[in-house]
Amino acid sequence: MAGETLDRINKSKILTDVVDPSYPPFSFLNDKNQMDGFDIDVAKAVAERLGVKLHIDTPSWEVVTAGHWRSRWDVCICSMTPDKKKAQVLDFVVPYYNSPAVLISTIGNSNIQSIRDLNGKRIGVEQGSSYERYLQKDLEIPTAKSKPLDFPFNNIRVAPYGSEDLAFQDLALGAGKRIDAIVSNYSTAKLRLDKMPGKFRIIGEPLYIEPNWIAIDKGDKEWSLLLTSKINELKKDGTLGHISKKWLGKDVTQD
Amino acid sequence: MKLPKRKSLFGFRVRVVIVWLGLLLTFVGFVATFDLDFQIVRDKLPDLLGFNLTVDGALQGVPLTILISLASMIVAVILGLTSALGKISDSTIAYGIATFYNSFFRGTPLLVQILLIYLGLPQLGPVPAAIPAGIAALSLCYGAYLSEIFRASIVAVDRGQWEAAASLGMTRATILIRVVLPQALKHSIPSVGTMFISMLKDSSLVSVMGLWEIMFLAQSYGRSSYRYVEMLLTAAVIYWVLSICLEFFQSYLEKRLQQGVI
Amino acid sequence: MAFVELNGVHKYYENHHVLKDVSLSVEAGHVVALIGRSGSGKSSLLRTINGMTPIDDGEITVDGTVLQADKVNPQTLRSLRLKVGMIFQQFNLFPHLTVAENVMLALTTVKGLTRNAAREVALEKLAKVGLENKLDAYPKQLSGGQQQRVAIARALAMSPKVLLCDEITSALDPELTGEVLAVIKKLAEEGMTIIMATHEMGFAREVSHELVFMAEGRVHEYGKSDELFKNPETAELQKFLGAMAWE
Repeated sequence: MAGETLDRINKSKILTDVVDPSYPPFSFLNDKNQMDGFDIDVAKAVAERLGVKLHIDTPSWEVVTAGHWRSRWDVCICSMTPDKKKAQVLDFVVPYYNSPAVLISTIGNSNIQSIRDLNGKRIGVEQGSSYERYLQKDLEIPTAKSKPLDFPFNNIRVAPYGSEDLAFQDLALGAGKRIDAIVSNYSTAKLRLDKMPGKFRIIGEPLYIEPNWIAIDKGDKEWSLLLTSKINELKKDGTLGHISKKWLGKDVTQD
Repeated sequence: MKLPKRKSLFGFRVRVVIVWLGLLLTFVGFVATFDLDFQIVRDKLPDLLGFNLTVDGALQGVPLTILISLASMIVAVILGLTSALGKISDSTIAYGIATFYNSFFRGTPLLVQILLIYLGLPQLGPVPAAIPAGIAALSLCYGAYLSEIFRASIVAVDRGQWEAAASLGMTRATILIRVVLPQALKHSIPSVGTMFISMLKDSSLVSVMGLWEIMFLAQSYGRSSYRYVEMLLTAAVIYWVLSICLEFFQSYLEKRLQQGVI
Repeated sequence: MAFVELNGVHKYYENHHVLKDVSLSVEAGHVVALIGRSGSGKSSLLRTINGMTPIDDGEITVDGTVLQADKVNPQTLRSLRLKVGMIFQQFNLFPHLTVAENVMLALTTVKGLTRNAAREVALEKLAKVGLENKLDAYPKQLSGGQQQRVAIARALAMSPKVLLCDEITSALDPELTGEVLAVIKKLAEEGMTIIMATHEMGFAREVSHELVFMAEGRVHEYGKSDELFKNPETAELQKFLGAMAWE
C-alpha cells in the first residue's frame, strides 16, 4: 500500500478530497453551485503545494468512516475528530485547526448561564458526534497537549438527531418544548446565529477545545509524512491562519 | 367487453378537477403559514432541475435522478422477467437461484444493498463507481419485486391458453413468448407502474455515494442556507411532478395496448 | 391396424382412478361420439390422445405414433400433435392476436412457414368455416359461435389427421351451436377422423359411426352408433339416453 496514493496522484495530477457537502462555513455549496469554505480552501492550498488539481467528492459520512477507500479518494480534509473506532480504519495525519465546543440555547432564556444549569434537562446533539460522547461523559481528546476533560454536569438527557438542522428546528420552537439546549461546534453555530439573528445565543465559555485532524486511508506512511510536511508549511507561512480568519473570524489553527 | 361510458362525462371530469384544485389550495394555504422564504428556491432551481452541470461537468439534479431511475427500470424488468421464468421452471437450479435472489433482495433494505455493492465489492477486487453501483443496487432490489409481479401475472393467464397452444404443437418457449407473456405483461402494467414510481423516490438513496441527485442537492442547499424546509418542499414538488409524468405514461401505455384484451 | 387405437389405458389423478382399462379403435375417416355424464372421463380420455394428459398404464397409437406410460419424449409429443388437432369447450383463442394471426401463429412458429404462406393457408381455412371477412377482427369482437369456428380453422390449419372435439358447443347459446355443428358435419363428410365428446345427442346420432358411452371412467358401452341409439344394451345407457331425450 505504501506509495500507492502518491503514485496515483502523480500520474493523474489530481488530488481527490472528500468533504461533508453541507457543513458551513467549512464546506458547503456556494451560489455558483461549487463546493466552498474553510476545508475547501485548505485542500486547494495543499493541492497547489503538490502541484496538482483539486477534485472534491461528497460521499456520506458512513461511507467515508468505513475506511477501505481503495483508489477512490486520497485525503479527507473534512473537519474530522479522531476516535478509537475511526482510527481502526483511517490514519489521522496531523491536526490543522481547533474547534471549540459550545453550549447554545434560545434568546430570552436567561436563567441558563452554564451547563450546570441544565441538570435534568434535554440537550440536542448530532448523532455520533463528539458532542454526543461528551454529554455521555465518554469523550477523550487524543493530543499531547490535552488535559483530561471534566464533565461539570449530571443527569443530562441526551437527544441525538440525524442532522443538526433538525436539532436547531426543535430548539427554535422554544427552550423546554422539545429540547432545552444544543452542544455544537462554535464556528458552525456562530455562522448560523449570524444568518438567523434573534433566535439563539451561545452560552458562556467553550466547554472544551477539540482539534480537527486530516485523515487518510490506513497504511500509507509515505503519504502521511508528505501531508504532514505540507500542512506544517501552510501553518508556518501563515496560509492556514489567513484562511481561518477569512472563514471563521479568527485564527484557530495554532496549537 | 367495454365498460359502459359514464353519463355526463363532462360533468364528472370537471368536478374531479375542482376537487383537486380545492385540495391543492388547502395544501398551499397550509404551507403558507410556515413563515417560509422562497427566494433561495428561485436561486437554486436551475441547479436542482439540472440546467447546469456540476463544476466537474457531471449531471446533477433531475437529469441525474432520471438517468439512474430509467437505467434501473430497464435492468430491473430484465432481471424480474428472468427470475419469474426461473420460478415457474422445472429446473431445480433455476428455481433455487430465482427464489434465493427474490428473498434476499426483497428482504434487505435498499440502503444496505447499495453499501454492500459500493463498499463490499471492493473487498473482492473490483471497485465500482457510484452511478453503476447505484443502478446495480436499484435494479437488483426492484427486479426482485417485479419478479413476483410477473410470476403472478404469468400464472394468472388462463390455463386454456397453454393447452390450446400446446395442442397446436408449440414448444414451451414459443408459448411463453408468443402467447402467455404478451398477455401477462399487459396485465402487469399497473403494478409495474407503481413499482417504478416508488423506485423514482428510492433513487435518492444513491446520495450516500456522493451523487448529486435531487435529494442530495435539496438537503445541501437547505442546510447551507438554513432554509431546510423550503428546499425539502421544493424537492417534494419535483418528485411529485416526475411521478405524475410516469402515471401519464402508464395510462397511455394501457390505452394503447387495450385492443384485443378484456 | 386402426387409425387411432387405445389399449388398456389407465389414468390416476391423486388417488382418483379416472380412466379404467379403456380400450377402443377408431378407423380412419370415422366419427366417434363420446357420451356420458360429467365426470365420466370423456374429457380426460380425449386429452390422453394428444398427449396432454400422460397415461399411467396401457398404450395409445395414433397413425403409427405410440404413446406409453413412461415419460414421453418431447419429439414424439410434437409429432403427435401435428397429427392430432383439438377444439376446446372454452374456445381458447389468443385474445391479443387477430383472427388471422390466431390461425397463422402455429404455422409460422411450428411449421416454419413464411408470413405470406401462412396467411394464405389461414385465409383458406377461415373461408372453409365461413369467416373469410373477419381476418382482422379480434376474438372479443366475435360471437361465441364465430370464435369457435375460428378455433376450428386454427386447428385445421395444421392439417391434422384426427380432430378431437371436447364438448365444443356446450359453452354456446343454443342459437349459435348450429353454425359450429354444420362445420363439423362438413369435415366429417370430407372424411376427417373425428372423436368428439358431446351432449348433442341428435347431432351425434346424425353424424357418428361409432358411439362410446362412458361411465365412472370405464367404457360402459361401445358399438355402432345407429344400433346403440336404437337399442341401448345396458340400463345405464338406456337411462342416460332417456334423460337426454328430454333436453
